[in-house]
Amino acid sequence: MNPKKSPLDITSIEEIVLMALRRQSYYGYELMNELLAISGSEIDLGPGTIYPLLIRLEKAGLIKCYKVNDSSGRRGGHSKKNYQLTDRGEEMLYRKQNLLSRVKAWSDDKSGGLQPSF
Amino acid sequence: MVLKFLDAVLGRILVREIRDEAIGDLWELSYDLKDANKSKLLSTLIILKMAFFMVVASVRISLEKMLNRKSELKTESNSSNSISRINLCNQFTQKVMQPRRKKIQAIGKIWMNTHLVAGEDEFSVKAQNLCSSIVFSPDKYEPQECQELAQEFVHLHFQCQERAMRISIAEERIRQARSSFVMFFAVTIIGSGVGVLVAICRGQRTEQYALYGAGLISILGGFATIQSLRYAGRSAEKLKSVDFMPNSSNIRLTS
Repeated sequence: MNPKKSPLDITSIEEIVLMALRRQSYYGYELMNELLAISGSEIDLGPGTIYPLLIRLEKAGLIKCYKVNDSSGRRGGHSKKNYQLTDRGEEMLYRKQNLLSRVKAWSDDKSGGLQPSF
Repeated sequence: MVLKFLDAVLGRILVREIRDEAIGDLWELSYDLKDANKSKLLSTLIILKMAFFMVVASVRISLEKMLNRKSELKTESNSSNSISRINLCNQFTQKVMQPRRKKIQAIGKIWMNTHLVAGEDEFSVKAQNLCSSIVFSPDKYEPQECQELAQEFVHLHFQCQERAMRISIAEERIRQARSSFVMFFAVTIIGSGVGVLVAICRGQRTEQYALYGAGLISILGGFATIQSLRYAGRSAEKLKSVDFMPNSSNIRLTS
């Protein structure tokens, strides 16, 4: 298993999911629909991708979940799992995005004066 | 009705981690499709597609779990200096180094434990011989020898754990084979049923479509059976190669 020790261990899709969960907590189906809606159907994560991904992130300690019972009656009596970002997940996401923005700034700077470690 | 059927089938074949959540999501999808006034046929197809990908998710999770276990096992067996191994070795050495009376008590307990847990198998016999040689010649061993004996005992202990792990992996594979067989069959039957229904609705060559449907069920059902038997056969082979399965986690060095 990828233990996600470094920010580079996080894939793009995982990063997107972590960003969504930073905004608010979601459950699987809601997250799929939300990402589909905000991306204009470009981020189409089916259940075959989203469930293993959520389990992986949970095992890595980047997100945590809590069970919510079916109060609406629209789930056939089955509970749902609401996922939310943990402190470690938030820190990892910040480190990954910080790293990418530094590399981007360095890549954009054609003058050659800016170093990646600025 | 399709949803209730899927609820029952998925309830049996999905992994525990996503079972409740995934089936709930399927129900929610069906309500959303109803709210959006989608046709029954289209709704059924979308629900079947979602159910299929849920099974895919379940298989992926199981595979990841299996790979993790394998890699953990590999790490454990490759590293003779792993922390758990060193700890166990140190504990055992300490027991062996104790004064005679306490040593006999401690080793006696280990002997009993091993005997109760492992029965008359290879591991048990080796471990018992090791323990009794220490019990009956308590002052014969130098610290260095004690260390070696402890290492041997710990090696036996971990060998036992590895075998137990291999058995659990094989059992997982059998479960997977059973699940995929049920799902293949269910999807095939439902798919063919939907195909025949479409044909009946359109009123075109109904008999021919029904025949195609039956043919498809037989072919895919046969394929699923062969796959399932192959998996089961392989797992049985693996199970055969494992000699014993004592619950090694119960072996504790008690003082």
